[in-house]
Amino acid sequence: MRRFAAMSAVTLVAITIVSAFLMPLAYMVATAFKDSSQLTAVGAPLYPAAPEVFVYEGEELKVFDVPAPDGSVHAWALLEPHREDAVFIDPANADAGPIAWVGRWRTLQQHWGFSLKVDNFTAAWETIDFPRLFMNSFGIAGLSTLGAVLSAICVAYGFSRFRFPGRNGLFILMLATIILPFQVTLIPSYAVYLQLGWVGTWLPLIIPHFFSNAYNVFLLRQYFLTIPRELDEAAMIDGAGPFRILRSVIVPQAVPGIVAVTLFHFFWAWNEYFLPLIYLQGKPDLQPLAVGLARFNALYSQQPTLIQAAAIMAMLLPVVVFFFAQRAFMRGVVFGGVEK
Amino acid sequence: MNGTKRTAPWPWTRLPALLAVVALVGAACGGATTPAPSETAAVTEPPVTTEAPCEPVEIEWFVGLGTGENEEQIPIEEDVVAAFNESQDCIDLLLTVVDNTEAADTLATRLAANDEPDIIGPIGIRALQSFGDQLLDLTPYIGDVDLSEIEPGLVDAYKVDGKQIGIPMAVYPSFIYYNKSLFDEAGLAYPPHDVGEQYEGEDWTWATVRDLAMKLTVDTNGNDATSADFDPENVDVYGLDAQFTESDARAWSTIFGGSGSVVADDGMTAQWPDNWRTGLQFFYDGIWKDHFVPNQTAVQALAAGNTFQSGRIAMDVVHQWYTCCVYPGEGETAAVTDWDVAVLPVGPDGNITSKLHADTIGILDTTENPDQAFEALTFLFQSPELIQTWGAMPAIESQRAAFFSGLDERFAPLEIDWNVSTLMLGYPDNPSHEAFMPNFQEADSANKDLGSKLWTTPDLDVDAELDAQVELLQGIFDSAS
Amino acid sequence: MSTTQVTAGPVAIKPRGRWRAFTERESLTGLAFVSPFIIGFIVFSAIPMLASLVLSLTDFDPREPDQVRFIGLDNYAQMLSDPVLHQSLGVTVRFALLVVPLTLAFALGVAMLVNSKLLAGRTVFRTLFYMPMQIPIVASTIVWIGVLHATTGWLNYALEGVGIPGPNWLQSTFWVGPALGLMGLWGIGNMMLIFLAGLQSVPTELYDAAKVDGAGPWASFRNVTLPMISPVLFYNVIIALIAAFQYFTQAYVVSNGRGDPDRATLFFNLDLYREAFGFFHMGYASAMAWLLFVIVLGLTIVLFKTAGSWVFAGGER
Repeated sequence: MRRFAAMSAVTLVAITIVSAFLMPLAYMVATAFKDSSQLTAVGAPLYPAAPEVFVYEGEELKVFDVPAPDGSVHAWALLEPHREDAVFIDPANADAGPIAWVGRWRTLQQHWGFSLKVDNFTAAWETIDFPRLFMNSFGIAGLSTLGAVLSAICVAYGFSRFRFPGRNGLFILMLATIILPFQVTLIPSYAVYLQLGWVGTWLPLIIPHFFSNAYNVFLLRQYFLTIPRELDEAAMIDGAGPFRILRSVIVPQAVPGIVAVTLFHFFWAWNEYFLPLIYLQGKPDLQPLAVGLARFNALYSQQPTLIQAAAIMAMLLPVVVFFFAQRAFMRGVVFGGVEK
Repeated sequence: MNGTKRTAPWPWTRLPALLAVVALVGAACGGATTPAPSETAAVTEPPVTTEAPCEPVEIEWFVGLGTGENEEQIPIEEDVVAAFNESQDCIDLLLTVVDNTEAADTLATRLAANDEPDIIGPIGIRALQSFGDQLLDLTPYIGDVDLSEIEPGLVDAYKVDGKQIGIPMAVYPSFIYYNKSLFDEAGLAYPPHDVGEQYEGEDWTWATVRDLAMKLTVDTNGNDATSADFDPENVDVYGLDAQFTESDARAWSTIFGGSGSVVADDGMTAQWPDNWRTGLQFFYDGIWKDHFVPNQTAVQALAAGNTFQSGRIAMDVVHQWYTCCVYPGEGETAAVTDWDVAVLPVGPDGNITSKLHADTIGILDTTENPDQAFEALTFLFQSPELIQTWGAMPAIESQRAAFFSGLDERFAPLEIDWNVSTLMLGYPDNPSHEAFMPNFQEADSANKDLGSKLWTTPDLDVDAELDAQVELLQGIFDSAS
Repeated sequence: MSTTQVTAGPVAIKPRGRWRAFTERESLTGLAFVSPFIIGFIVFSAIPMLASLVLSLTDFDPREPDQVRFIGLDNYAQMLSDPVLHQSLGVTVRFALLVVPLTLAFALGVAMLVNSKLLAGRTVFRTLFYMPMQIPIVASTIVWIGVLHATTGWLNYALEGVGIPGPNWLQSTFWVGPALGLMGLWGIGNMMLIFLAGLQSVPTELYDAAKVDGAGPWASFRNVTLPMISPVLFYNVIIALIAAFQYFTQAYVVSNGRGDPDRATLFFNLDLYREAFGFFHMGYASAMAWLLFVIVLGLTIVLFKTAGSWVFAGGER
């Protein structure tokens, strides 16, 4: 019972924190289902809604709660707004003709009805050839991750388990590659890739990661350092060589770390924007989602509802991948590699 | 101890082979470039001329510095390029579209790596200042083009230091877009459509506009800006705006003050002319004192800057190209349903000033095939489909009628008075509000910093700010190499 | 270190010889494993890095690459008297000092929360906390701009709901920093994951032993958790520091590339970007980049040197 109480308390705290944390996500989802006119209408509800309208003589009139002089409140459609008076039509009794009303219509409560605009998603899907961009993102991120993880494992192993001359210097050098801002290596890199003939292809986005990437190596090295050397030594006693030690001792122990590196390289590559933009300019068939999404953010025609709808669709796959990949965390660690 | 017990091993042994396969696949996938949207295997018609067959030369057309990178425009541009390539053998036109926000960076990167495209555009005057030095002198070619129907002043605007860097292709005068529904609701007469016409017995000046705008500005309780009960924190409709000026102080000064320049006639001294000070003060007071112009926070909430589209701006000073964006995209509810255009008022300098944007397509001087580039360029800027999709008002007078009927079709059943646009074309700002300044990028950035400050900060002494700005600009001009 | 070799029993590992021989071949083996990085560095990083160093000694304008002139250390001298650069450095350092500890603490707290056996539906919570990392950064920044809007943003609605008047987050030079910090909290997904990996590898025996010794939750956190996760904590500190000094994209989107309001969001990298691609002073921008490099590398090395005293590495030699 005490455990149940403790669990409820912790879960409640977690729910509160995560709700506050994800509030902008709720905003994002709400926006994705709205019509863009709702974003600028005064007094519009926060949830996706459409104004209640009454069609009269071919025009759509908005409905308001209008207080009549006798004190009753009616739901009438606004036909002619003026500053100090207005003309309404009673939807329930349209044949009675226009009703003159004295007062300021802006102070009236407008009727809004909950309404999800699913069209935003279909519009976003069609406008930017979603399936192709999706496959591109998947391809670029997938290949890049594969190379990055494999090479990171090898290199991190080298840094964490072996002593060799210049080890520390080399490690610092590796870190140096991520400290220098990319804006200044952009042009020389572009020139290099141009010479190699890789501009306009996926290669500049994938191949460098096969030669490891400082973030991944650094992380895995730290993680490998937490694995006790006794395990290595036990395997060495059994006659295992370095590669075998890596395969059968280090890697199984480091699964949570390796999964972490895989996931976050994948998601980083999935959302990478600037480099794909530069190297794939003019090749919309090869561009990933992150670049395609930017088309909704043109300076003079921002479409926030579409960009959010597209962003939601773009994040669905990574979220699903993450949800299932978590099980790898669950595998956890068997201490000392020895079954107890 | 029997040995290590471990969790199920991953199949690492198979990995090297897998790696090799993946690398090959990756290279194959990534290496295959999309075929250029051009060349069909054979020309569709048998050649009629006796021209010797020529080696197709590749000309790359870089779009994104001006308009042309919106979703709706790209397929039309691709079709035009394909049609051009099919119609002749000698030029293989290749289209590259980059987003406006990154277009300048991308082009700079490519220039630096000696990977230049051939023709760039549509490009406006301001963007031209960034790359003007890199454009080819078109004087040798200009004899081939019939410029008789283009205003000579416009052609000269593209002559920098004796170098003709572009042929005006499209012109965009500015005028007042007004929301008729809001005028009807306020019970006010529409603004004038003719130069010299009065408004309700008053001359059409910025002072008159101010009075009108204050009546049009209304808060959520129905009080207009002339009322003592007006609540500036809860405004429903603003009377006036000048949207999409990117917080450029020069633009605002020109709109509300008339033509002027930050550079004195000697080309080196910084200044802020008096009519510009008056204009900027008018705008600043409009935001913070009289509250008929939205400040930056309000603008952000009004369709992220496209304020007129939100239906909560009564009058807006924008250019001809804004016809692209009065309505939201397909499937979205338009907040503005009844609108028209009106002439600009007389400014404090006694003139009407309609600040002008103009587009051209330029050739980079690093091109290897200038003749073919020019041929492609002429084709493109006369293409009616491109002009239509870019909302480009043709610089060539005789083409304008077709342009306006295209707009009439689009906006039917509204009957917009496009004569206003033609009238305003006669009052361009001269010098242009985007004219050359020494150390242009830095000076331009400094002017936008000032604009941004005025747009977000109340209780400033505008004159003092401008004095400081002149000093700042002088320093920037002086450090121009 | 036993010198006898035990022949393998049921385990099918081929004996490779005395492991002592590895000590001599250790350097070679180590280098062999590290070789992908070395090759990649030479091919993909060394040339651009050297090029940018050389560029920092020139007046390179990308639009006219062939007209570059060598100007020696002029760019570096100019940096000493550039007030905008100093301001941007100040903005960046203040941001780093504020945001790095905050996000680390929040990430660790969340990681411990979702690692807790007392939490129902841990898998779901982990996914939820990680979700913001999967939203393309431009889209998520636009969302935050909407949420932080002074009058129509949900954050201020929420604050007003509890009676606090919400400030103009993105237009106030004072509040825009905290606003960016708030946005930064959305980016803890990776740090949380890394802390989780670290937490998961803390042997439960240690906690049991601590409990047997009578340690309460705080003591157990301080004496078991923190030391055992110190290598990954170290990693997160370094990475967060580098990220803070490289902060760019969100500042760019929030201020439209301008550093508004009034340079309060003109981070060092944004100033660099403006110099490089706005004013085309690529030589000067390269010098700025190397200045940043020296600063951050210096900090990193200091952290590494002090790591010995507080980072526990069970597998280190």
